[in-house]
Amino acid sequence: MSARRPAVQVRELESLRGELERQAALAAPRWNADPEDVQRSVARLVLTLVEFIRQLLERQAIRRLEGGTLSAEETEAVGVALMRLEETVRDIAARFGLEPEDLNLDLGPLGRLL
Amino acid sequence: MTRVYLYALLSGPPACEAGVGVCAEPLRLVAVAGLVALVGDVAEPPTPSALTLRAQDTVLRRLAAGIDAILPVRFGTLVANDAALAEALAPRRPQLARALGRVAGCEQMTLRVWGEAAPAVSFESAGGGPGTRYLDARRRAHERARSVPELDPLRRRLGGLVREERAERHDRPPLLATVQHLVERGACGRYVEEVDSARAALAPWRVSVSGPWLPYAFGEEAA
Repeated sequence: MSARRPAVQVRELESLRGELERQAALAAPRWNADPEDVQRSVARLVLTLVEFIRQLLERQAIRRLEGGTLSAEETEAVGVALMRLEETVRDIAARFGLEPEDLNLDLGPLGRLL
Repeated sequence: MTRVYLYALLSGPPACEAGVGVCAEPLRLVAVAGLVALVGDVAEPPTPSALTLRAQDTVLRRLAAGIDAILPVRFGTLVANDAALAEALAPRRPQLARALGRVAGCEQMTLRVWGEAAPAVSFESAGGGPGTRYLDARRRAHERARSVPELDPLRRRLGGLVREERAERHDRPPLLATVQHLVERGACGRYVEEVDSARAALAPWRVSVSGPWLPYAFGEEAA
């Protein structure tokens, strides 16, 4: 558009390309049980659903925290519960060789679960 | 056997002919629950690639010129037939109608924010026990993921030009953030002028601007 506008630098373009590739790599696969590795496939599906619920609970807790409807004791209890749930999901995922970004599902036209 | 490939939701029939789609299939309009869907009948959806994404964008841009609002649908959206399309859209009609109203008469401008290092984040601990500190940290992380304070001097200048904003932090220098603005059609020239005149005030951050685009970032309901 405007000739006086500074051009995007090569490093910046490379950075943008890297971010696009990272986002593309995050595209969640549809769930297909691998007959050679059923346990891991099932663990991935179950952990994805648990992580989905954990994130819902976290958002609800944050909404209530911001809305001032959680007492100090409730905030502490909810925070500890969510923290331990996150640790548990991460630990079980690691046992099955799953990374955090593996815990997602492609829901087709609805987009990604997480 | 063909299936129905959904391109976009429209505020009404376009002024020009629907033409052909990415797979060279004739496009048609389907009235569903008070909405107008732009579809094509295809044997297979197009494979996602830079070429097919651009082709789909070209199809939609041609039609967008002749209608008030267009809500692009996620690339690759396929349903079995028109009945399945109606079944998918009808329950979401209020949200989709609201989204069409949001983008009416607008197009999208995109800003990338560049810098050598992400700004340091420091904040006072919320105090309390580990649970309270954890929840507070998560709250700040959510807040920060959608916040781009580096652009504040520009936001003041853009003022009434911007109808809505979507922001996403990357914090992978030099790419720090992407910000999408919904701007009235015809106002993009003024928008670019304001961005250019704000460059000194934005230092040390740099911004690059692109657009106008179709309102891809503002149709979450149709994604």
